[in-house]
Amino acid sequence: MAMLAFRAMGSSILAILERADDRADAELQHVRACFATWEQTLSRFRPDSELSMLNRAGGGWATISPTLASVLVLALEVAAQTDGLVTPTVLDALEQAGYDRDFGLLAAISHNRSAPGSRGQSADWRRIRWDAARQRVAVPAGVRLDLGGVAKGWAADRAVAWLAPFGPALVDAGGDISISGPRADGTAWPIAVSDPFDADASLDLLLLSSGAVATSGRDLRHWRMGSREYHHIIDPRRGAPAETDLLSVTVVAASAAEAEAAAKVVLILGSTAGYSWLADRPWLAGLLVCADRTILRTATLEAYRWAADRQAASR
Amino acid sequence: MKPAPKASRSSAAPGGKTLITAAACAATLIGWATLTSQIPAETAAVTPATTMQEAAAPAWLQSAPDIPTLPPVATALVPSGAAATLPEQPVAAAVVPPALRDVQAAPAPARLAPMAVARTRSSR
Repeated sequence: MAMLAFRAMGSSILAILERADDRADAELQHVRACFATWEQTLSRFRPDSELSMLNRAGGGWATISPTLASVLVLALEVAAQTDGLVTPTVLDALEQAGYDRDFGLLAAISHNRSAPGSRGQSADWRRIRWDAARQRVAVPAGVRLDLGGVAKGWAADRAVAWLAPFGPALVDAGGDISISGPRADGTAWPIAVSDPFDADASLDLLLLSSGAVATSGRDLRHWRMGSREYHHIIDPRRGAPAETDLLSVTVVAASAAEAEAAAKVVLILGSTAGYSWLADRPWLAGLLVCADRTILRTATLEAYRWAADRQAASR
Repeated sequence: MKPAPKASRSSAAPGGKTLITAAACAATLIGWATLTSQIPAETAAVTPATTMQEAAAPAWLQSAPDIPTLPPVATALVPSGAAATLPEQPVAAAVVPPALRDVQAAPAPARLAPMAVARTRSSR
């Protein structure tokens, strides 16, 4: 088994390929190069990224690269499927909340900043127009895009799709994990769910033979400005960090992009509405951790949880 | 003077001694032959009924003995030299004290959780 860990897109990346030869190392290096290219295209923190240039374009049609087009189209699909709860039009709200630079830099200066006010509801994603035939997009003037979590899930899915022909593969993009299928020996991939109250502890051990799992939370990327605590999960209905009783949400889905989006929806909705939203979608499975340490699991999650008694009985 | 002849121990009548010996032997043979000829007749006179009556076992011996049965005692002692001749199911294994049965009925140790290859958490 070959693996490669590196940093990209502001996150820790882990790529695993179950193949023990020089080809494995070469393909993993290719994945790292892909992440570098994707970051250069999609980062909102890089002034020279294609996304930053699009955000500065100020309306009108702009022809974009296949990479940006792929992620943007996915983001618009996610917005449609989540009734706009997960939308790319939250960049202004993120910056207004203080998240205007790489998180590593943000933590160092946040204590000197004053508390911002909300600018209200985020822009309607339906105002963005996409011309597939010409691969061009029209973003209304004054609307700026952030592809954040969607881009990481997309990247994990794309990287696994690249590695899959060479062997069983897993790609973890900052907690958004996509797998190609069962492991080389036919078993499932054991994936731990971190405890948001203790990064070194696990709440569950999931066994995945296909699909993906992702976690969205406000346990790590949060900061203080003035007397208030802020985090990076924006509720577009308010144009401000979500006021939620949930600390983190983990979702199992067919793809990392879908899992990441679903986890974010549940986090924004809160434990009651969020759990109902998940329960209405039996193709998803979720684990919700409340700020008061209450843990909620959907019934569908049981199919993925490792349990000593169940594993022993199935032997 | 010529000594007087010693008195001899032999019979003064040798022919009579031989006769007496032969008569004794003949009488002995006749007596033996007579006795021998009478034995089958006496044996045939012993009937089987008479034999059974005389060999009948006492009643207490004809019924099953009333021997109290004791519970087998579990033992861990096994003569090392007799291992090859031990029965397949040791008697001791069939009789297990209740406390020991409880220990044997305890669930098997839980399977160890597989080691996670990745960890999902909020972005970092």
